[in-house]
Amino acid sequence: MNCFTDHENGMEILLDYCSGTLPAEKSERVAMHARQCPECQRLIDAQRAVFTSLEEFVGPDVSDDFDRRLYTRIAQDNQQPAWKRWLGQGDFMQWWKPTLAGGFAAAVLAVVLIVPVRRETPTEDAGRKQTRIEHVDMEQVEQALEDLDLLAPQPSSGPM
Amino acid sequence: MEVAGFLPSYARPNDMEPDAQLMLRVRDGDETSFALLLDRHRRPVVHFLYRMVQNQAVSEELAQEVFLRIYRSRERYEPTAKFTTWLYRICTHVALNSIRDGKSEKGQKSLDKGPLEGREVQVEDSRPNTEQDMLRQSRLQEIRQAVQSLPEKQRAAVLMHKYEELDYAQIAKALECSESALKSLLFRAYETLRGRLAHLV
Repeated sequence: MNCFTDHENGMEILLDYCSGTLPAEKSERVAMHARQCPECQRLIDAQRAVFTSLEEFVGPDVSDDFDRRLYTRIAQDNQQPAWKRWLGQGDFMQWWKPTLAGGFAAAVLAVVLIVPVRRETPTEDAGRKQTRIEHVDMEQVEQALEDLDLLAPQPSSGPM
Repeated sequence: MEVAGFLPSYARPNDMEPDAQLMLRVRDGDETSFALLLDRHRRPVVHFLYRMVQNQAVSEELAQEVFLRIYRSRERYEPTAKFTTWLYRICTHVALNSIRDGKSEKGQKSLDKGPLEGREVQVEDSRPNTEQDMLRQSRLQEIRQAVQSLPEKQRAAVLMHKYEELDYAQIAKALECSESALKSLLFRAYETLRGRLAHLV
């Protein structure tokens, strides 16, 4: 047999071996290999230490009134309208938060993308140009009128 | 809750009946079968959730949520997979949601000195025992911290593998991932635990 680290299913074999679920024949082959391979023996010892340690992590006693509280919740739940029960289910809770977050992100993106585009809308831009042209035209007209005044023959102030 | 006292004997649920069969009876309105399922799985579910969130009050609250969801889903139940696979899938969802919402951290202070600690207060206080207790507590704390340090999905995978003895296919279904992804997740988790706990034995 190969080392655990070289074998394709080495880690699976290690876990099954240490938890005692590996078939007897395979288990014997692992044991034989480990006797000659300090590295694999070290892995086996470490994994067994993990399993042994985890055994010590025991759960608490369940409260005496657990069932009573549960049946009260079930009775309360049964009295709720169907839509409220549906809202209270995890299925709904799973999607409403991402949907809300997604909607907010989309709104921010829309503001970022649309506002600059609106500023550059062709009609508005053309309107601004038109206003500027009109302004220039008025000045030209006024200048032209003044020029005309200058060119016009002045009323003779001298003696006739 | 009704008791199925009026059912003919052949139709009454019994302790030996498989979970899926009991759940089918629950689907058909038999409340006694639900009580049997609750009796069978109450403790392992609370323990699984306790090891996930490491808070007794929260773990019981979450366990109630799990059984409530099972009861709510009874009419849609189809025995397409093992009952325990379905059960632990719900447990995992509920636990992961709670962890993400930070619910389990609210009671973190009470969090738990562990179920054994209350009992240990009563132990006689001669010096060697006290020292042994302290050593044991410190060791237990180290184990709990090692489990807690695992990323949530890795933690759930280890707990289902070690304590609930679910096979790889069941754990993969419960965690909604492929079997190969599950194995990789599980092996990484055990590698981390070996690094943190190997010195304890």
